[in-house]
Amino acid sequence: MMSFFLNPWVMAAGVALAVSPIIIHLINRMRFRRIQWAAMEFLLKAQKKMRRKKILEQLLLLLLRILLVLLAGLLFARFLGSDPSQNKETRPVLHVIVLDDTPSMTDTGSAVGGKDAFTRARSLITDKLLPSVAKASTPQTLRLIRLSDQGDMLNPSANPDKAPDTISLTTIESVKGLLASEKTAPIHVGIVPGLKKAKELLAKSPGTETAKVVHIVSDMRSADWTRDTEAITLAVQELTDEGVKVHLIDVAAPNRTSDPRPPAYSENVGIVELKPRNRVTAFDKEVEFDLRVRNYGVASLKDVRAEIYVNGAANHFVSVRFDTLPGGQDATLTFAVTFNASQGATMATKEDPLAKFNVITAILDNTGADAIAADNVRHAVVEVREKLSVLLVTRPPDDDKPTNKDGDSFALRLLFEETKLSGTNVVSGTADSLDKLDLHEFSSIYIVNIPQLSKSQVGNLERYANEGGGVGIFLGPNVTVEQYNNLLYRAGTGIMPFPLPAEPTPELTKEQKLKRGILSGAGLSQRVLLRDRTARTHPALRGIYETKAGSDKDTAQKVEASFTLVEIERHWPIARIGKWREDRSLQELYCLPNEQSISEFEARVKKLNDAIKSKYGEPKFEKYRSTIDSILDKCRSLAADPENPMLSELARQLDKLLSDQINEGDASEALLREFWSQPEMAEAKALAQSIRDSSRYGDPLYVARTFGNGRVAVFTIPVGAPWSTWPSGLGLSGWVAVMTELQKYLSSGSSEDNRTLGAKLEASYELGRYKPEANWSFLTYDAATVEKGVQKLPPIRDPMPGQTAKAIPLESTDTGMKLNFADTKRPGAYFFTLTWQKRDGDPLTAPATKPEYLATAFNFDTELEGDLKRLNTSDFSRVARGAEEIHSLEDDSWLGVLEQKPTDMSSGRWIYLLILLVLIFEQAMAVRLSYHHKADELETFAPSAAAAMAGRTTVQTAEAEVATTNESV
Amino acid sequence: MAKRNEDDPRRFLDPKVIARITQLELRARQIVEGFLSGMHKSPVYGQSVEFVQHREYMPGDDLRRIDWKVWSRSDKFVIKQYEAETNLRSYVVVDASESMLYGIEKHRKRGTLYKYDYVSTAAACLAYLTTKQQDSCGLITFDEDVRQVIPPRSSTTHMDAITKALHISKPKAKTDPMKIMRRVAESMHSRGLVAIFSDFLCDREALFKGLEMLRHRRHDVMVFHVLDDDELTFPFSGMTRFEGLEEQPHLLCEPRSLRDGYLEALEEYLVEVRRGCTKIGIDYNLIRTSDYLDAVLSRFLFQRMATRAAPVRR
Repeated sequence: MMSFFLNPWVMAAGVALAVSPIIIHLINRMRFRRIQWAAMEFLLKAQKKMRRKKILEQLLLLLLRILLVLLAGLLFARFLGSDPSQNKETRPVLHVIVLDDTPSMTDTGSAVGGKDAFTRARSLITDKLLPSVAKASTPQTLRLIRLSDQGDMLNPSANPDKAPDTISLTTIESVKGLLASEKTAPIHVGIVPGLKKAKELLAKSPGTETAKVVHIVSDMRSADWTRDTEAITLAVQELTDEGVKVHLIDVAAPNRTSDPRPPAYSENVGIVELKPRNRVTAFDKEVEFDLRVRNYGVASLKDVRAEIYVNGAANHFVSVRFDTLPGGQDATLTFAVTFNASQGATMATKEDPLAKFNVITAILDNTGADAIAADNVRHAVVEVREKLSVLLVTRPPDDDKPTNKDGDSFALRLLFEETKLSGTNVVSGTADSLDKLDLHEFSSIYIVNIPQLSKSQVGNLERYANEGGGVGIFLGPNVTVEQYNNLLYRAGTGIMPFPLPAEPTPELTKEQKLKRGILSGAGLSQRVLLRDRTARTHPALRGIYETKAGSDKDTAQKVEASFTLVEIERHWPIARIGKWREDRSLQELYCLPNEQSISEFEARVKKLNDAIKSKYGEPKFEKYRSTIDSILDKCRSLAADPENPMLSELARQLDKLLSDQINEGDASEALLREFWSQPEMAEAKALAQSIRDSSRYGDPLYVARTFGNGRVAVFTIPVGAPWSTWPSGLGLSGWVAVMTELQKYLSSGSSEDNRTLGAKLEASYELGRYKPEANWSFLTYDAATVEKGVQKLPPIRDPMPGQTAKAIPLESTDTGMKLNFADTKRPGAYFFTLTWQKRDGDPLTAPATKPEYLATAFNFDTELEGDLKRLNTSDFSRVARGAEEIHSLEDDSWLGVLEQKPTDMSSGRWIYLLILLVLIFEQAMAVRLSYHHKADELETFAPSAAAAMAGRTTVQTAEAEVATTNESV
Repeated sequence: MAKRNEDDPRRFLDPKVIARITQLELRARQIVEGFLSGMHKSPVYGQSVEFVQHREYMPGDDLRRIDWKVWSRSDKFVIKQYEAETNLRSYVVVDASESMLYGIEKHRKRGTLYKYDYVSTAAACLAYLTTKQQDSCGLITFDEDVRQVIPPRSSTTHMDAITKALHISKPKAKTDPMKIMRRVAESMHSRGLVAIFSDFLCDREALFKGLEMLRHRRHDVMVFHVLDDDELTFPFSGMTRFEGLEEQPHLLCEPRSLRDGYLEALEEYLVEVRRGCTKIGIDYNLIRTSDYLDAVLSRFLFQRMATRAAPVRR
């Protein structure tokens, strides 16, 4: 019993004092005075009436007073609760501190010059947490792990047998020294690995003998706790299920309060992505970069600029400026950089792998509202070759002479060698070349009207594409359907995006040619159609349709205009059915017009006519009727025309009807747009669009898809003859534009992920193709230590020039060789040199070994570390179910538990609240029962007596009574 | 107030009080018959000097009372009515029960009047006033029974007998109002004025029956309901043992807790007494012992005079 109290004797005194109200009451009963009283009748009556109520009230008051004394006794006796051992740990305690050292911990909060979250975390650990733990009466041990690498900071050698350090003043001092030199890591790591590491460390100590506590010291951002919530909840639950106490300590500024509203957080803006559209380019060729910036704050930012550095040197020809950057949104700007031979600052020798690559650095100007500096810098790597090699795979020269103007690849070769794509080195080859040549040397490979490929050739081609290469396929009359479908399409798993039909379209009759205007050379409509508006932004067409500063705005119009002059007589009619249509990686870019007979649309046109006319009878449609009627009449007459005009004519009329074609100066367009916006016309509009699309779009012409890390583009026609005269006819300008974009697309290099620090680099290679050991080096330009506007950024290299290169083994597996690289903790460019080795079957001219290079950039994970929004306090009970209540830096109350200081009632608020309530109630009762005479009390209860006391002759009622009596008398 | 000699029966005639009220006439509201010629109205209109009113002649009226002057002027028979004055025969009835003793010690210490003292003084004053104006006044004191009866006399020496009777009557027993009123009624052979001074802490049913009996005999009854201030306000606090007078039980209580109930019961009682008196045509006056006696009597006499202007024929 005595163990329930810290001061048991005070409680004994309290219990004794609790009877004092009763004793006082009894003494009062014994000490009374006597009054001889005449009006006992009223007194007895009053007592009879009030007795029960008054006794109850008096008893309640007595009880309240007893309770008050008891509560005071409990308070001063320091009651420990019904289970005094509950809060007191008797076992040794193992503490595991998980210290969040991710980049977001550099946030200083809103305070200028304030301490960052990491410094606050260090102070918490060394000044509060550990000193509190050291006060505990049982042995306390410690393990301290960084979240970034989950390494035990007190056991740097990772000795599995090392026992955790006992927490003492000496340990605290050594931890203080250890943490003083510690800095935040540049990589993002979630909470889960830290929890798992903590669990692993705790598992080494037997649970029954040791109490376990995990302290997660972090800035508690939403991005950390709401991403992969299930795993976090599970990891916390696994700990708490084993009896581990999990403390969450928020060290971000400003301090978290009990306010249910979301805690305040710092504004931040950072570069999310810097992506070159071509990872491989030739000298003096322009490469476009997309710079994506995100404003993580709430307020909109204006005039945010970024400076571009090429190999550390400021590039004054490029200007990147965001006029406005709305809060919580991304903005992307595209800029172009042209590389020339003199630019490569790192090109010491040709053997130096760095000589082949250029590092582009974008630095965001400090916007003022920016909490994290590391996310303002981003690097990208572009491989610059003297010329880009293109492999044209055609039929053997016996069948297809490269110099023959009507040859399969003549136009392409001409284009690459002599026209716009002059930086291209064209290599002619046959199907066998796919076996014999090292395909990695080529930026793109074109398969032109090849009848068939062997299994190994298809395998090589697919591997090449899978590893980032670009493959263009031109179908032609020599294509073997069975071979293509079985080897290249392979039910959707191969490189071909779709299966081929049994036959290409038949040759056109003379009438058909006349109708199309082929013979007359005067096309009436576009022979190549953009399949969808979204195709305009596809990387393979973006160059044509994208409007950017300094570019020719009319390019798209000129190209589209040239499409009316294209002559395509035959093609492979790919059916728009089958699962290839559902493939998201694939997009149909261009198609041919529909060649069906217009009479087949007569019924549908009539249906559309009826649908519109049944609805437009209302007076509000009157002003549209004449325009609508004229177009509908035209459509009907076209559909019913016995001369069977071009279906595209109908499509054009329907376009006009739907006012989708912008004809400047045509007043009817605005009118028609107004007409279609009427809700009654929704159904008719859908029908009109359906007829227009089906009448306009014919079979696919140009389809592009991604394949592994690479790209594949397929034309359903040959490059030129014999089915098409596109490159040799009047539509040449459009063909050049399309092919230029195709080549850019195919040679743009592997579709580089937006690689972030801490991520792994994985690359697969053919077994035995490379020596099992590769070298790697690192290059970055230090933007953090230089001042704004500096012209030259200092390079940081690892290893330094002249030092031995760092080696990394290639892992050999059954399927091939793999490069696995994980040491990506520094933002910058990573270069790998692999040694190609000659094998049997390789061309005789090939050297025995030659170096091959791979480069990529790893950058700060802005998406995961840039958003400093903090998780709501209330959400932790859901995400970290089972963990202790989240603590803030200013809240020291929870440290008492660590000190194993017995907590009694006096440390809680409710006892004081209870005493206050009882006191208020007791006072209220006392006042109620104290019978302070009120001025009007006598008047209220005994008006007659009040009248007598006031010297009045009688009361009002009495006067009335007298009057009534007199009247009755 | 000067120190009073408790053994002197004439202490009840307070000279200051007497001096203030002798200037007033005592007018009985009700006209009484009497053989003495006094200042009090007779209920019979007869041969007197004071004309009251004319009334139309009715067959059976005395022809002598026809006002012939009116007839000569208006040719109508009207009768002249006069009022006659009679002698007042009054009784002062004083409650001498034990309940009238409340607060004796306290009041003696303070030199103020306790209930019996107060009513005795009031009664003596009234008797003095009555005899001074040549009316006859008697005294009856009672507790459980009639203790003293002083028949009405109009001589000034009669005051000795009255004051001695008041002095002798030490309050002690329980009040039995029915019995007392019957005795009072029996003692008064002709109609007169009965002034009753009591705290009426008795059985109300019996009280009203007794008063009704007096009224039935056509006496003009005045009730002076005298209560101590303490009884009206119940100002006690602290644990108190109330020891009942007149054989009432004792009660140990915290008086503050019962005050509301006490006041409610008191009000109920006061209303009952007042209504009961009013109902049977009795003048009721609630007086507290701290009221100035002269003020009370003056107020009473003014009230009575006010009613004279509108005599009621009974």
